[in-house]
Amino acid sequence: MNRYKNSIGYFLISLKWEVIMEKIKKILVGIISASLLIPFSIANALPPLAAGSDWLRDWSGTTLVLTSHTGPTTDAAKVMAKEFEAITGATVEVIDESWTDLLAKHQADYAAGNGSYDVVTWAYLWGGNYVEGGLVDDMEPYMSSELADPNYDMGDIPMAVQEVYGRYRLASSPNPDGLWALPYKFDVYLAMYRTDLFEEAGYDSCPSTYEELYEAAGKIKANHPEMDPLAFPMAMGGNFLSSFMAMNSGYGAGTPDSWTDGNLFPKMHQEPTVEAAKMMKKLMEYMPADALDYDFDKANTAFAQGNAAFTVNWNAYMPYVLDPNSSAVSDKVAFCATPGGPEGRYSALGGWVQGISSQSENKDAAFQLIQFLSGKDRGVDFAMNGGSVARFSTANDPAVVEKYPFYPLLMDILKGYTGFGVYRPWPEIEKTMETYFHKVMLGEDPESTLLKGAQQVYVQAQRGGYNPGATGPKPN
Amino acid sequence: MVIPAVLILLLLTIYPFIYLIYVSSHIWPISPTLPKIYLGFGQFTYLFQDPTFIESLKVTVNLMVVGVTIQISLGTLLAILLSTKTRITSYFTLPFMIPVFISPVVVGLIWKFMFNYDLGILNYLLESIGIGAVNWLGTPRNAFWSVVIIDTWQWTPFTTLIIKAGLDSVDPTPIEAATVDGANRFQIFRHVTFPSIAPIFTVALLFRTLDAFKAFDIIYIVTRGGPGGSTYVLGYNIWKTAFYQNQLGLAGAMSVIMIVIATILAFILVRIMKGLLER
Amino acid sequence: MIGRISRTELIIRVSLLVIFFLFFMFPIYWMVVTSLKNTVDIFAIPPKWFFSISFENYWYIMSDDSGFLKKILNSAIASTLNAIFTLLLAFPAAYSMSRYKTGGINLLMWFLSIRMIPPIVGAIPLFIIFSKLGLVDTFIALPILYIIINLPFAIWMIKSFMDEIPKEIDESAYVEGCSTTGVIFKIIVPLIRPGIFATLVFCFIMSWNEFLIAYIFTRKEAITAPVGVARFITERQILWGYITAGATLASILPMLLLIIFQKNLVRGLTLGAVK
Repeated sequence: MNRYKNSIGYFLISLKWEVIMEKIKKILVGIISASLLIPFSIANALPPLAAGSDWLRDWSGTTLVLTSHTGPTTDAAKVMAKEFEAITGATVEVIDESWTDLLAKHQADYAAGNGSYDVVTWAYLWGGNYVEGGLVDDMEPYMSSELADPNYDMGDIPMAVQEVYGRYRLASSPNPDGLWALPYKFDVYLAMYRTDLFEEAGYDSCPSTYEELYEAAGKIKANHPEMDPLAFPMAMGGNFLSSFMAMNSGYGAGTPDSWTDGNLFPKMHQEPTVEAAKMMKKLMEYMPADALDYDFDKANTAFAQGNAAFTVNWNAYMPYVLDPNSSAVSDKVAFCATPGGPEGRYSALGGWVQGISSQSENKDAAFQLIQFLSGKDRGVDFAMNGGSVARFSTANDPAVVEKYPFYPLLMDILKGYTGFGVYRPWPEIEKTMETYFHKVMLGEDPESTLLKGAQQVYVQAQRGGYNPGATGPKPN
Repeated sequence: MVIPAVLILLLLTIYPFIYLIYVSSHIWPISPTLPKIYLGFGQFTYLFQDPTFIESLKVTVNLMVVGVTIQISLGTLLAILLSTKTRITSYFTLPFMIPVFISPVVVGLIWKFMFNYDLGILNYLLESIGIGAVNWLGTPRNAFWSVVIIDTWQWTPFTTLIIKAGLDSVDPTPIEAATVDGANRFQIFRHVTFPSIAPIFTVALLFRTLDAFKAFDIIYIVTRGGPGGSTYVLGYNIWKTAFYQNQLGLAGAMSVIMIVIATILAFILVRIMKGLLER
Repeated sequence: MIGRISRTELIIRVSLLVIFFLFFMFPIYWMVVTSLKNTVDIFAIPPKWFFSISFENYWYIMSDDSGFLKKILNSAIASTLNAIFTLLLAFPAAYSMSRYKTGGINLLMWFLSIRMIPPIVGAIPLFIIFSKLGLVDTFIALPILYIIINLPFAIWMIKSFMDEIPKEIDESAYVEGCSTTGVIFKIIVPLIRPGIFATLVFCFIMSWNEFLIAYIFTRKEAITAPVGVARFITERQILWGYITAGATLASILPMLLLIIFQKNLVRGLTLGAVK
């Protein structure tokens, strides 16, 4: 009997020992992460940890799962999440994976009812799948609740970003006034050009229209016959549309959606897009022979290696061009907005947003984490760690401008913005449009080719459950 | 005692297949909250007008025909080499089998790494022998052939093993007789060896054909169907349509078509295998 | 089999073999070597053939941060469970088909045709069904699904081993008063023990390497090694050090098993066509 008791005693002791170890571990982790963060906040002259954080609640015992794409912004978010853990006592698990798989994963997880995630990150152009599909909750009620950060300051976020990232105003929206997401990663399309080559050709600033760019490219080509002056991302898979988007709006196809109207009636066969496509075809004269294989990476590498005079790309690529370790042209590069067309000058807006999973069991905590990551107080921190932040206060911060000189420009050029489609069939429609634009780039007749594309888009919109017929019959 | 096995397989194949037909007659988004719309045969009529689908069907067949032809020819060559009767050859057999038993994901990743334009070992080697760098995955044509190379790397050992087993089982007497009669080696192979290994040859061919028809993993890892749809095989198309484009119904219809094709191919294989077993 | 060959031809043949050997071995060599380099050496141009071995990639891969060991464990669980399930189903079926010709050649062929179904085709309806049953991303989903892939192989493989045991042995056992169970466990099982092991190993390797189904039916908890490796492909740079280290770890087990069981595994791969 005694022995038996003894063995149970041992058992209990061993159990408790584990608990104690666990606690020691937690305390150690807490101390270490706090000690890591303190010098950090001092270095950036931020207020001490707790100040400005009193809106955050005690989430001890709560585990939040954040799903996102792999990349520098998520790396920065991981650092921030540690701080959130230290303040609130919550555990934040960041699952990052290749962006190409996120949509499929999230949709499948929702359908399976697993509720694996609390905070969901998505590219805003997938919005229809998340909002109409019911994957995420409307955040408007949270914004006016006591959970909200009093210093969040929506006005600090450019209107274009608020609108494109956060709202979903199609007729099929569950709530056209709902706020579905807050910004996570800010992407804007910019132009980069070689100051030396443009000066040599007689230009002291960036070309403001595509016609001017065409002329400039001609002169640069004359000076350097071996060079293909233009490197545009032209490949399928979103590259072409990203490069074409601002042109399309600039030639009068409308904004922020230059591809279809509110009923998903296609615009690609109409005159503005046909003209824009002809312009793009014209510019190809000064692009490399395999221009249609240039994706974002390849175009950027070509430019960074000094093989091109002018390129367009997302702002995420700019640091690579500025870094002498990865760029041969770091000291002779300047940034500007993408050129304009006869109907104005626009900039393409991309980006990633964050919302609350409708299957989350910790929605309040999830909301606070989202606000924490995108809040005004930590915007500079986030940017300095490598995140891309859509806030005026961050973009104009001296430390940020010092490190990323193009930041203020990003805010400035958003006055005229244009974007991707957000409806559910967008991935399919994007592919169709790129296929037909590529045919035009390869030399097929623009009018008839784009009309065929428009017919297919019309069918795809219908099959996606939308009603382009409300605008008009199938283009013919 | 076959009943449990048969029941389980029925449950896991026939029931899902019936369900698949049901799914394919609808517009069926993944999200259960969105409405499902009944279409009847609508998905199928749409598919046959969809250039992407036709294109991916073509790509699948091209990849299958080209890949299998190369694997069988190379496999025959290797099998003949491996049946050389020296001590060295016996050491080669095991290493040759490794590719077959590695996950296709791993295979795809290694090759993707080696195919890298700027940093890959292959371009380095080509440049150092003066051929110049090849844009392995950058152009539609090259990407297609790169996938063929990877597939060949992984599956040639398989065809080699089968054909070698066939060669090993050939009765040597007629060959000796033919040699005495003064026939040359090609004639011997053509008229004596080949006929006796023909059935097992067909088995290798059909196994590979059906496996090539299923291609997904390597495409997913290496090219993601691109560039310009040059490697957009049916399996990848179905996955993308279902889980990325949110069209389970359309993907279901593609699946039905794929099953029909696979069944026809399998039927041919089964006929041949049956013939072999009943001999 | 082609008779005597000249010395020159022998040299040609052996050198061809060596070339092929390099072609088939080099990628594997390169994978292992890359995984042992540090990040700077991986991207060095010209490539470093001699370098100081660094385990930094393996340390990362095995740390809690990457969670890769958990994926290896998941793979091991799914593959082991599947191998057992498959064997339990395949053995009785193979026995009755070998000894009593149950279902005849048609049943055998039906099993064969199941092997020909492209897995993606089954994935869509099964995904909807498994979602409704709440089985997605559980430890039981993959072992069940892999039955479709492995059972036909296993039945053919075990049957081909059983067919090699002369029927007379069973019959004489029956004459001596042995029951069917007795025959199975005292005669058949011991005689085809290598075949049973090979079948288990074969199912294990096939499940271990499978990607598509694992990719669709796991999310977070039950992710397997191949899916884990594929995940290292990221947005802008590809983490080749981690990928090759993960790939090497994921390949070690199948390669070891192949070396141990080589001959009998080939038999499974070809559904018993190669003996």
